[in-house]
Amino acid sequence: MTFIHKYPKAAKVSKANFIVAFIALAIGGFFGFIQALHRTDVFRGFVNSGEYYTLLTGHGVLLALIFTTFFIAGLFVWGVTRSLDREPENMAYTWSWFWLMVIGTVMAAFTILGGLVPDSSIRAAVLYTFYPPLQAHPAFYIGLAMVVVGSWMAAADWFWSYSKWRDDNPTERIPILSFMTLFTMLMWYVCTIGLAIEVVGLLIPWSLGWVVEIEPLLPRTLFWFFGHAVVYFWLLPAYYVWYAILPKLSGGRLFSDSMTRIVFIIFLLLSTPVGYHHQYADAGISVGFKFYAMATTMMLLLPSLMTLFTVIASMEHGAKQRGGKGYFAWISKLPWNNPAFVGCALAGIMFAAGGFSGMINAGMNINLLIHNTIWIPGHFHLTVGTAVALTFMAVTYWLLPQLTGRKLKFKTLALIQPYSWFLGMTLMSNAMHRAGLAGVPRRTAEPEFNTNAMNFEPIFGTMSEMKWQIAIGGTILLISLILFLWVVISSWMAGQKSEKPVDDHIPEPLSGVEHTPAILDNMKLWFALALILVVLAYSFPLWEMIQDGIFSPGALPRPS
Amino acid sequence: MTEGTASSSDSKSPSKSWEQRNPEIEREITIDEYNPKGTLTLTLLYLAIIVLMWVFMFFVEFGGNAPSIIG
Repeated sequence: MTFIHKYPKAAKVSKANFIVAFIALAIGGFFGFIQALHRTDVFRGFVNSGEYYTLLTGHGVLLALIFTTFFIAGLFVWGVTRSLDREPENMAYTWSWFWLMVIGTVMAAFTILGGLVPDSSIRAAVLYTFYPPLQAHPAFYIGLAMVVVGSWMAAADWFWSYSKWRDDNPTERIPILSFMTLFTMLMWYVCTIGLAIEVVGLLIPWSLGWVVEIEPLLPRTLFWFFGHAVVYFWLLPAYYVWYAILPKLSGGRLFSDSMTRIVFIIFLLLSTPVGYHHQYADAGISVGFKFYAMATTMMLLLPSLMTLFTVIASMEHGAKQRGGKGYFAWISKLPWNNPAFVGCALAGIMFAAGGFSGMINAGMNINLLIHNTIWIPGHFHLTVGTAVALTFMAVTYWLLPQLTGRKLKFKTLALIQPYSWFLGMTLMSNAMHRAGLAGVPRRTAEPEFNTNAMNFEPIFGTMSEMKWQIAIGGTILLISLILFLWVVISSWMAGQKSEKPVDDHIPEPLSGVEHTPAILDNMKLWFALALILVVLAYSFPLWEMIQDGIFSPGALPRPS
Repeated sequence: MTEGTASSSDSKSPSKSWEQRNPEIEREITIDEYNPKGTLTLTLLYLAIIVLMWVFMFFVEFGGNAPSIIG
């Protein structure tokens, strides 16, 4: 028996979430391909440069917010149900948060796509960051608010399951899959406070015309209160896969249960008080607060390095159990012919590279070198676009058989897919990083910013070569995405039915929960500490910003 | 950990470890036997690479050029 036979109701919810996630992935990914060709001037026949910003918004919102949120919801429904050995407590409630998120998604997507209709008054070309002075149709903000509220309800659903499980198991330790889920969602609750205040308190009244003037700095700051922590909302589920599933796919066990829990706790504590590192170049915020954000950001390197060590140690354990030896030779014993393993492993390698550019972004001084250049999208295509997205695609090859009761089809295509994604992203992202160093800006549709016309001086290579790497890389990524969707749809619709379509057993950690201090499971303690750190980081500067009134444009900077 | 036993691929022989039931596993390595020296080597290698790249960025790019685009 597999998951769908034991927990048919939860399997249905997971699958419904994955369907929405993959539709968003397909549309958003196609938009990304068009952007890569348009901005590099390779082919500009799909859209005009005005519509480019509509696609840019669609690419960011559909991939970074919709694909991730729905996939994470499906993944966590699977994990909580399985680890607590119980279906959701009330299916009417469970489906209510799902449909709330779907309606919100349709509203936001509708307003974005309205930008492609000539003379349409329904538009939302406000980019992924969607803060003033760019303004969207009210339905865009209301739709996104519904998605966030739905995600809060989903988290409450998992805490409800945990609470019921705790009643039945008062002395048990929190199972590791549920632990990772609950701490991720605690962090999500903390960081979305800023977004909720921004959207409900400022942007919706402004877009409805109830408020005429709005100060840019306050909503911008509230966005980044959420805007970097959301990165960890994407990344922690990828970590969840790397900690819980990747060791088993490698042939080994998770190296340490306690290390896993400590890493998730550190992310809960430090994810939110780092937002100012996106505002190093913003006027109106004291350098001291920016320095505090830099310090907390650099401290976040610690759990990432702990993850690097724990995950590689788990993989090495697997390889050595499969006969691997030596300092490096064991790597060849890893299952490089298993698409789920390959996707996760390559995603991890890309994340290591993204960690370097992240360090540059986080440094207050050296950040100025690459601020607002195409280096930044180069960085987040390594982290979100590969570490997260490729992990999600790879684990789908392992989860889908459990959720459908059908075996994976076209395994060779499934194996080619993560390698091709890695290749495409290597080409595209390295060119973006290097172009950023030469000063090429981000967020522009115009090709002259990618060519020699602006007299950019690359350290090595040529602007033309970088342009072609971005276009070719983007094309390979689209092919990889089509391969993924083809394998998933084929397996889902026509895979061979089986009681045991995949080996879904997860072995115990090498150093198990018996070695884990009980205080690590104290959610109230860690949640309270997280809130205190947020108050330390944000209370005083936010107070300064609203001294002259919440909507007052008197504070700097204000667009003229 | 509830999830491990809840979905065992071979619940008829729970006395056997996962390694003993998996044909791809040549030998089981316990926590006492395991020495992740490959992991340590790779981690140190990674740290050396990012330190060198950071030094390159700071002294060649930042030290040698004015900031490009701010705002």
